[in-house]
Amino acid sequence: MKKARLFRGLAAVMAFLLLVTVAGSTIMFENSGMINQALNISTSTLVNTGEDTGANTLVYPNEYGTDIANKQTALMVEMAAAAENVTQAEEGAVLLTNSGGALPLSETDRVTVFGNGSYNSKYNKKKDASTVDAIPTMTFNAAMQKVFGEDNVNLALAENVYKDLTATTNKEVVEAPLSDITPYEASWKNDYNDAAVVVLTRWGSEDGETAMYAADGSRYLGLQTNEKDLLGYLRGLKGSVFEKLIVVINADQMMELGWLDEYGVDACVLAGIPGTQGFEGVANILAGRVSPSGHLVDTYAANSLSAPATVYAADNTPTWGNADAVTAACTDNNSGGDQINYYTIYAEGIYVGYKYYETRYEDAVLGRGNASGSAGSSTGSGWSYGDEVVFTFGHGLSYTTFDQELLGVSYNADTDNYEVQVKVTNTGSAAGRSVVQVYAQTPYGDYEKENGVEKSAVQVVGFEKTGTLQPGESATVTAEVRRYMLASYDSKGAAGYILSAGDYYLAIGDDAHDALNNILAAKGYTTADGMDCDGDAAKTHAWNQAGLDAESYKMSRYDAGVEVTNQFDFADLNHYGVDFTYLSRSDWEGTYPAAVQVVDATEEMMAELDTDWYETPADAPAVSDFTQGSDVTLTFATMKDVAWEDDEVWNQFIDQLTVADMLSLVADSNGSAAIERVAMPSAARGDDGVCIQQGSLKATGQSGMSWVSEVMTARTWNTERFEARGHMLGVEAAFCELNELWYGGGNVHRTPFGGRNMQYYSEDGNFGYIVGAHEAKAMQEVGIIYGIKHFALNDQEAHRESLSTFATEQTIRENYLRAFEGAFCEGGALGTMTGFNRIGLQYAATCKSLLTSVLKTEWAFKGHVTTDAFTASSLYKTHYLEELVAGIDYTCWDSSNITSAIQAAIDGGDGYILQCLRRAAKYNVYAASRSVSVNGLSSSSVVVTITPWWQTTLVAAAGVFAVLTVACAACYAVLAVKGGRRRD
Amino acid sequence: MSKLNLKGRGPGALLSLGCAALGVVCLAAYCVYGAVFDYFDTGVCIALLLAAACAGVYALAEGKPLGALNLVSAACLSFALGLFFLNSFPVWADNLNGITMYASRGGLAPVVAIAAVMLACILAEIVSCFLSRGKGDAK
Repeated sequence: MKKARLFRGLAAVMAFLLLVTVAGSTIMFENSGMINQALNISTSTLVNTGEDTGANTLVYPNEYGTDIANKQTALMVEMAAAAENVTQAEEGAVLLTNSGGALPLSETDRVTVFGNGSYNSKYNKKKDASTVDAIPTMTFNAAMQKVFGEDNVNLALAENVYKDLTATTNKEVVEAPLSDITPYEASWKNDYNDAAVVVLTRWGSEDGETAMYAADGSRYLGLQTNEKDLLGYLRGLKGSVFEKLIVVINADQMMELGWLDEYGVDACVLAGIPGTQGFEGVANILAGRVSPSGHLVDTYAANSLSAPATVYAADNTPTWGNADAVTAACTDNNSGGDQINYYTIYAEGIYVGYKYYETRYEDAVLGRGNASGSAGSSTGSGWSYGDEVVFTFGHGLSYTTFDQELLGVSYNADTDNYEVQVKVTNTGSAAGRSVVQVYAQTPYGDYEKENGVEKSAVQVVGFEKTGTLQPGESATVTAEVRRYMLASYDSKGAAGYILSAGDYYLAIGDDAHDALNNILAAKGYTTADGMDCDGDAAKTHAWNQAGLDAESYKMSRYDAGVEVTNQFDFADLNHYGVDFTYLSRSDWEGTYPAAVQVVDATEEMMAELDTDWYETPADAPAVSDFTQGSDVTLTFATMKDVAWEDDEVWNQFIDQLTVADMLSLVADSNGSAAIERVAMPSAARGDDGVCIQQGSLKATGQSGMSWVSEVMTARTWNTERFEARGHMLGVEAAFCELNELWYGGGNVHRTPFGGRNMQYYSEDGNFGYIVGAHEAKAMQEVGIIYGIKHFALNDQEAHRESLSTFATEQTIRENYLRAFEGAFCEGGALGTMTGFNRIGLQYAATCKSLLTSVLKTEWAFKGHVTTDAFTASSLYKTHYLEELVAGIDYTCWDSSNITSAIQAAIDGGDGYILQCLRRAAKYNVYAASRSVSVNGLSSSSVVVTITPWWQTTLVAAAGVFAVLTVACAACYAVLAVKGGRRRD
Repeated sequence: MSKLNLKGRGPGALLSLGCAALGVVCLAAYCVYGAVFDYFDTGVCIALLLAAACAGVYALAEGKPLGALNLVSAACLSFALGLFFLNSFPVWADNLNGITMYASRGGLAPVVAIAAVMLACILAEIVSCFLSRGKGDAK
């Protein structure tokens, strides 16, 4: 090959390599945080000068120390997490039925395992396998063998049939046909037949809303054909072959379980989604090593579509009637995409889950509100509670029985709490733990009807779990009830929270229905009035409030200088002139959302969808009004002791930061860069609460434990377990060198189909409030920011991007914000992530009412707020200035777009944007200074930025390729010219 | 004077001609893809157009100064591929994660197909750079 052509070819190769390297580097630098965490790279280090030797700089210790690079210590952390997961499963699995004491089995029983879910089980979010080598996944079958003995568990079907099947998805239930099963019946005909244990699975996931219907048109959450065949087959063998038929539900989507009696199921256990260790706890329950003490935190309806919330949700999510016009008119239309066209209406109002079924039940008993009409009835005839509900909120059995005696209720003015004293006695023959569940009923009178204030017949307001009680043993527990939870949001009359005039009831009960029956009994009703069971009036405490109280909660509980008032009028469709009626117990028949009301977006609505509302205020300060980059006198470490209210010192600190420094905090790539000038270390953030991802244990490079689902923890009804989860996940995060965990979360199981129900607490706002308060507190105590997500009303995965979400202010506050409020206001959570959805028509990350008026003002939140994952191709997420002004403090996974926009605005002289940036800097620094980021920092510490090796390599490679490209091209040019001259 | 002529063209010119043809196909495919899924990027389009033109002129025209056009073509194609890859990041991210988070439009198939054709063009043009253009090419 001639020289000139050789160099021309080499120049082409080098140019190709250069451009590929540049393109790849662009993406890699944009996602550097994720890459650094995958490669286990720290991007800053501390250098202590020793000037203040002896000072205790370990602000956030944990029991495992700070040597996060030590493999043995990391393994101890993971082993502790594994043990906690087993405990969580033991307390969080729910015994739904247990006819004739079918459970527990004997540990010497020989059993056969059925159901594809037994082999292709669901563990949690994405981690179907253990991420910790030394702690392998405890599969359901392995757990059964561990507890019952390897030889006592017949796994013929797993080994021969299920291993060839795929797992159930959120759209398709995978179960073997009976014809594949019966060929192996010899293995259980004469042996392994003390019990048939059937595992059934359902699924949902991120961006994977659970289907309402299966491919054959049947309801997905109901039994599918192959499952029916299997259960029918086993029912036929019961008595002749199998002594017992046990069903285990491996799902957090609320399956339809009205068939248990029909198929002769002796006992049913809700195992939920138990992570990679929890099946051991479930097996322990089956064998009686522990008595179940979990209770439902959702309603299990006979018909998964019978709740009014399903009308506008999941697969039923409607599009605008004039969708084409919306796409054409709106600039946020995702380049002609359809994401802007979906909306959901919380037409059910506050009546989600048990609040719907129980309230309608009470009204049916009382004969009011047309509750017995056919609207919403699954049978097509008059609505009846017995037709609709299989297991209600709070339901859960034990291997023993308990008697609960209400000793008294007192009000503590100092805490603004009621204290409900209950004596619990184990009246059975096995040891066990009991949960005292406290429910409230508040008045629903003329004022409420006139002002559209809805009231649930019962709502959970407190609970307390006993320790293990031996047979005959008693204990007295006190359940705290926040009086605040008895208040209702009145958006029309008082424009604030009210305590209604009339009769109040606090009731204990085995579940929500039992508590309501007790309340009805206190009102004098019996089965003769249509109740399905007589209640016990002695388990209630009642009082009367003479007049309406609109003052007690007129001012914020968290900042007495802030008045609580309407903030979400725009989220109600009626605000835009659309005539829409939300469900009201004043007329069930007339207000039930029988069919989707198709809404045409008006021009005003389309304008709001475009989110272009920011204009520099007339009274905006000038950029020159602020000082940036002043001499450093305060380091990051010193700010950990500076109170939020000390504006002078905070301003002094922020004056030290340059605009670039502050912008580095607004950017995110699974963390933020170090700011050397003020000795602020880099921060790394991970995701999420069911298994730490985008982060890995520094000692091993592996992800954290794959946890039992959040809802399984909630089902323990045990604040100790909530705190243990928050604590252990916090410790894991610390060993992953994170300072924040984006943690699901506070969204609500509005329907059984929510794809991420497994990550969220429950169907109830008050319950979520309590879980979040304890989890957040425990995680923050070990210095990990509890970044609860997805704030707010992001309760479905279907069409989650840009989904417009309409609801009344009462609904928003009492159901959906309440589930977050506990984490922020009692748990001290210092982080939150907004949702992909819109509040009304406003993108959650640009919703000033949500982020500033409520979160940062009314709730006095002092942490930082991030968007959900950013992408510039989702146009509705690109309103950077609106996001900053609304209250966003950093943008998840955006390291350049928002910072460029802010920089441009400041360069253009917009002092208001600079003011907002300073405000965001305060929130960012405040949150970080209350995290493990301050561990090891003294006032004399120096932070040194480390450039990751891969970045150096890429830059060097690009440089080398550039030089070689030029050199080869130059050589070619010289040789070509020379060759030409010779020819000439 | 330069003139368009295939007579006496070497393997480098022929390969470049093929590359030019493939480049035109690629350009057309990209334009359709960009229009359907609204991922049209003028930068990619111009780069592909330039690449095809340079490759074609290199193959068909004579003249000493034109001997570097296949190198220019290879560079333009590389630039187009790099930019196309950057622009299609949401599609890769959504599809490989199996979720909708990057507002991607269209599946991976058209992206992979167009990228594959671009890559084939680049490789052909790089090989062409090593080969003789025929009469008048550099030694």
